[in-house]
Amino acid sequence: MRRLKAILVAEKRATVRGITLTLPLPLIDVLGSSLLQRAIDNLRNSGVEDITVVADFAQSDAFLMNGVPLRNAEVVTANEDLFSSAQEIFREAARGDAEAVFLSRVSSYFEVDMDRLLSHHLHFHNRVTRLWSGSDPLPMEAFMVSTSRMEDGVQLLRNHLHDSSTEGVRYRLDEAAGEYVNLLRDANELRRLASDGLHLRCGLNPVGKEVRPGIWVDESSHVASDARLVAPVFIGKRTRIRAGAVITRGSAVEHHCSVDCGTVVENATLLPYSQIGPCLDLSHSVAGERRIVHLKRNVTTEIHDGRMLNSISASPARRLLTFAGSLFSFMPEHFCRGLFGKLGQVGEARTASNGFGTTRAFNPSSKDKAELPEMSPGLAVVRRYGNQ
Amino acid sequence: METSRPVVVKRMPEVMNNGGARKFLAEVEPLFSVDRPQVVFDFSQVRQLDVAGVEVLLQCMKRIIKRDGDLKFAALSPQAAVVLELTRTDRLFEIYQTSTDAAKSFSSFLPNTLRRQEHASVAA
Repeated sequence: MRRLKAILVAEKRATVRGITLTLPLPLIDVLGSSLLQRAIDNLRNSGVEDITVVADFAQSDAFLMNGVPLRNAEVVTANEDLFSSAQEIFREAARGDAEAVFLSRVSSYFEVDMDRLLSHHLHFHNRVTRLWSGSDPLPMEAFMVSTSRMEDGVQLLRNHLHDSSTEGVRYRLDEAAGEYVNLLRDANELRRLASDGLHLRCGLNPVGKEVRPGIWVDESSHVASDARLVAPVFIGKRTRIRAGAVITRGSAVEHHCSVDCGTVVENATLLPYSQIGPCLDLSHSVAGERRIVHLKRNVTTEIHDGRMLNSISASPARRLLTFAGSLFSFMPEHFCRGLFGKLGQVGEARTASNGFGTTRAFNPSSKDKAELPEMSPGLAVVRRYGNQ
Repeated sequence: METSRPVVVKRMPEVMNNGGARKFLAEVEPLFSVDRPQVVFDFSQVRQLDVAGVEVLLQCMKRIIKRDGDLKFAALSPQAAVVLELTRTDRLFEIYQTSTDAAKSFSSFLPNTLRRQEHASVAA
């Protein structure tokens, strides 16, 4: 392998069309790892060891936003202009011993054979080689630049990696050769990326333990015993799947999410730090930060009601406070139940206040209770159905 | 089968949150006092629908069914359609493209009418 260097430009304002998120696109998790980390890992796997990430957010921000620090790359935080900092780093690399520099903006996901790309670059004596998506040829914001032509790379970065005047014979990613590209232009493509990863159509491996074939669950997550996971699915770190929930058909529930009782998540992605309420039906969607992008209807809907879709704080302290608050509001109710034994009344009051509460979903109906004969208080178990 | 009973088409407010839903329920309540009410809710204006709004829709359905009537939905805005699907409420109601279609459907089963119209046009 010839000596290669890679410079990845990660912008805070980069986002997927149709989804407005506080998280920048490079830090959005897909199947347990951020797109930026996946770009770094893909480059490392194809033999590039010298990788610099130029970002307009600090490493600590990245840690705060998705809970995991970046690995295997040097991260340079641009204080002023992102691309000016990238130009400086490119100049340094060109003065070093690197033969070519791979420049890319972290705005899409791709798996490229670096040997093939470099061979193409050298074979056609290109000064700059632009990568193009395979089946439907579209230009990507990724280039291979010869270090002998320092000004070409600087010019390219001055143009914010949009175009190059010295572009040579284009390099098309070939799926037959094991390459893969997803341009992540909209929520549909973000969803397709997760689905492709789960169906093993690309090298994007889910992060977590494969507990059953096609079911990846992170060890720190909690899945209720009567929740149902239908392969292929992914459950991220510190996610909670409550009783009666069903996660099915290539769904991905990312880290720090909560799926409440009886909710069905079908062919959907739940973005990090999202909480979906009980007894709902989330299908063919990308949901998170109080928005649902319905992929079949091609519409983005803002959800104002926190009982349906809510955000969970990224700060652990704030999460702890919220949990303590909900516990303190929950305890008096149960204390009253124990003290006065008016189960029905308290249950009904709760159902009235929250139409989608768990009480309604799992409480036996009042009619059933009426049909039951008076029981002895010492009786622990009784059959309610069948020939008793 | 033709019917002589009136069909009431009610346009829903833009925001069906806690306050909006309560106000809407107060507005439509008199419609449910008649025998076998036939009501259509037009969702074309709805931009925000939350749990309180969905609960009001279910309450309306419950009251209308008690009186042996029927409630149908028409002209769902994309936002309303997503929330109704999310809350699994969409499967409880007949949903039509326009309020005219919904109103017509009370007097005849719509696919039959369309089929008849097609036959008539072919014969002509």
